[in-house]
Amino acid sequence: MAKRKAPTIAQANIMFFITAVVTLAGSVFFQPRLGIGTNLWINEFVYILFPPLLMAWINGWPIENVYRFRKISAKSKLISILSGFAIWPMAFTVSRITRMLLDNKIGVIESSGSLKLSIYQSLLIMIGTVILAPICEEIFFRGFVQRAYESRGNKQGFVIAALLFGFYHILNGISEVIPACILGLCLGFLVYRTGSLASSMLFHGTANLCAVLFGGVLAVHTSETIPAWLYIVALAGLCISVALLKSIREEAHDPEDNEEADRDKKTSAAGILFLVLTAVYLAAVGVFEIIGRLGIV
Amino acid sequence: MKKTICFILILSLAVGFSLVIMDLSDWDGFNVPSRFEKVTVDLSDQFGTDVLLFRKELNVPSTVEFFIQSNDDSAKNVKIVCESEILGFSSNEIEYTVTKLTGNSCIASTLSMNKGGYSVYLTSEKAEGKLVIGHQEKAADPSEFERLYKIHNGDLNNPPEGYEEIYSTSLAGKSRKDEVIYTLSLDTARNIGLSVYTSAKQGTVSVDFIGEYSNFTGLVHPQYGRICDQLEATLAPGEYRMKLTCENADGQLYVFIKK
Repeated sequence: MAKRKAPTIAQANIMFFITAVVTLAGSVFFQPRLGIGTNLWINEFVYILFPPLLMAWINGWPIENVYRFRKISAKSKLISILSGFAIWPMAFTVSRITRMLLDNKIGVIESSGSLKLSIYQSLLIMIGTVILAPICEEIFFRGFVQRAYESRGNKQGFVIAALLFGFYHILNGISEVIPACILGLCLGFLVYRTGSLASSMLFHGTANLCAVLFGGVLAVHTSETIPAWLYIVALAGLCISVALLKSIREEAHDPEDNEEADRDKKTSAAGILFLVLTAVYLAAVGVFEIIGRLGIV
Repeated sequence: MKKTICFILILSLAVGFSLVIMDLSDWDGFNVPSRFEKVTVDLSDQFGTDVLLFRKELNVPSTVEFFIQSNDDSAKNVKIVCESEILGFSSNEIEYTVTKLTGNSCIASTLSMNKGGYSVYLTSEKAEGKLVIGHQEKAADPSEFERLYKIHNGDLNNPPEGYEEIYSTSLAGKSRKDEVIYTLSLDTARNIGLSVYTSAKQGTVSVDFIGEYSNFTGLVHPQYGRICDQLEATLAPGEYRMKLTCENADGQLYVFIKK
């Protein structure tokens, strides 16, 4: 039997499960010992970037084609950057609303107070968030997971990958799930339209840059209530971002992208099993946060 | 594009690796929040009995916050001596035993001191590690300090605004062991505030707030903290009991709650 030239859904589900488990376990171990910035780099390089590269090496996949490392037009680049900038206020606002709801309805997670970060840790966080995370996470989620799910259809591919991307962010807190789903849908749509990870990396990098530049200041100013102007900016940003994304030209896809689409209509038992395991695991992470908010642990 | 991504990743790896190495070589195990003024003591240099580490003048009544860490295993005594009263304490001296406390572990303490000043002394044997004392002084709100000062001097019925009395008693001649003095039932998660004051200066007095999932024990002590003011907490739904243990004590006890 010939080897597939692209990841299968089962491979994507297994890798997604392993990545989600080791990210949390690794963070619990490394973050207190090496710092939040170093831990971010370990997460991105080891647990998120390494699995798809390893899979490509084992299966002999040409990375440029399978993970869609393709050039895009200057216009597509600009649209990706602008739409990433425009969508960020909406992602931020949804995150704040969710967090406030959780804080008020369930309870606040007790914090030991903000700890001082060294200049090196701060730099690691900034570079990791703006450069490393967009590259590594796009290779994993859009290059590997979305590509695998595209065997069920291109639209299903990006929607499912967006949901997995969103629920993966439960590791950062329940309040990050919906914003990450929104961003995931935009990122997946960009790859679906352009057939290249370059667009989603630029979008992702811009949105993360906004979080680094404005997130801290806005979080302080919205700690009690969310001002009306932020809702207006968020809605306007969403509309602009959607309009920009819709305007992006569908670029010529590689015919290999869909050649095996018909062969993988059924997901293997292992694929389903690992998807269920991942759902249970991520739900448990969410329940653990709620228990923490209730003050039970 | 593959080359560009490879280049960025390799460059990032080189930069990141350098930053991690610099961070690790710079890290001494301490994590004192930046709001504190930091005093670092080299235990191989400063050791002995009651070695004066620093003195701080307080021109007005102040709230003084301490954050103490050490990367040395041996037990060291850090003594804070206030030249006037420390509200809620029977003595103007407080002693902490510090062992190895790094990363997120620390001794944290907040004291209300009257104006005058305070000194910090160390009793330690010669050791290789370091001791770090973070301290932050903030002028106390005059009306708040006056309220706490009254409580310190025995006028206990001075709760903060929004707090209501749920229990008060004279402790003289009372002997109680985990007697339930108040029960709180919550249907939903709620933020509450607790204030417990005692004027007992002898014997045993302990007030514990016990729930299925949250416990606050030893809220007051006759010598080491007669004032527990505005302890705020988010409580899960359930039943909470406030329990009193006392023996051979004197003075009064007042308990207030803000729901």
